[in-house]
Amino acid sequence: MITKNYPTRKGTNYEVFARDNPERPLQHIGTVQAENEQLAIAHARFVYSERPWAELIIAPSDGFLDCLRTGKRGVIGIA
Amino acid sequence: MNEKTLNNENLLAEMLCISDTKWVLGHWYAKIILNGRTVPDFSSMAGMSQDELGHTRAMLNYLEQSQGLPEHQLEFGRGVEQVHNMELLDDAPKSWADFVVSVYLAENALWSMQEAYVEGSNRAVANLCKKFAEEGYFHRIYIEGWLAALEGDELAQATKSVHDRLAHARQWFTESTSDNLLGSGERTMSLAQCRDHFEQAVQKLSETLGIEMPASIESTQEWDFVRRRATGSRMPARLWEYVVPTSEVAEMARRPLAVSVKDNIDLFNEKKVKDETAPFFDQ
Repeated sequence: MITKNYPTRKGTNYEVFARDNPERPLQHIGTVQAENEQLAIAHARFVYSERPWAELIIAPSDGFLDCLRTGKRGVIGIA
Repeated sequence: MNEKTLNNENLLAEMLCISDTKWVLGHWYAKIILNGRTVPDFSSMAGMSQDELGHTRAMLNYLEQSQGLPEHQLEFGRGVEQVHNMELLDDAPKSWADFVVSVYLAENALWSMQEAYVEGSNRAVANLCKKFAEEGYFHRIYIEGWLAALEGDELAQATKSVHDRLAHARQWFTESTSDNLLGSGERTMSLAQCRDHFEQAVQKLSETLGIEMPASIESTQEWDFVRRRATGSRMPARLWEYVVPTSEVAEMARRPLAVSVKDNIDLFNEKKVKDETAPFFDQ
């Protein structure tokens, strides 16, 4: 069997949040993967362009701190 | 010729320099879509292509209305020798790095020129340029991201690209002896100030690539101040055919126009009759 080592794209996952009205809370609308912040911002702008957002922000996925998660101490949902 | 007519013609020429460059740039993005490396790349390049072609049509539509020209004549009724596109984009990109550098220079040159109209006295042009700037901001962010991601051989290719193409972008800001658009307040910055603004982007490019920028060299070619290109030059035939396909099949597939372009070939010298009943942008 022939295998090839194709170059893989280095990238970071970014979570994308948006609100379509300034009075509404931010909502998670998806993720993008990009090699740097500028590309991530542009990807978010072009991929999630289905609405004229009042605000569109991104954050690196590994920038979030676990509060509750399956397998960690604590209970998810209403105890 | 009175001053109002003179300014109309100067404004038409300069707006065509912007819109025709965007026209070609939009086609560059469309052609390069399949070179994207991920689905978001495809979406981004398709989005940028759509933006640039949308800006072009919005500006051409405004110019046709303001100059009393029949609709779509500026898109389909001009010959290649009447198109005002920037020479920078005449040659197809030779590599990914060449593409990134070329569109970086083109986007920033366009922004440096458009910015001078955002506070200008012609509110229709100012509003169009402001909208172009809002959307172009994300184009520049995207290109800067790709510049920062270049590595290895790509950096050498980018350096060569800078040496090949930067002079065309700088030359685009060449000033004539009189600047009526600055005097009338339609443009609030001189072309020298626009060029200074562009040089800030060049400096940023220099820092990102870690290279020295070539010094400006005065061109020895005769310059056409109306089209902002070397006198008598035009985009290559292959590129023009891509921008406005003229094959028999392509012409058959075109949407019919209200007025045949064949009736209005001489757009710039014939006496223009303004249609007072046509809708018009607020000034």
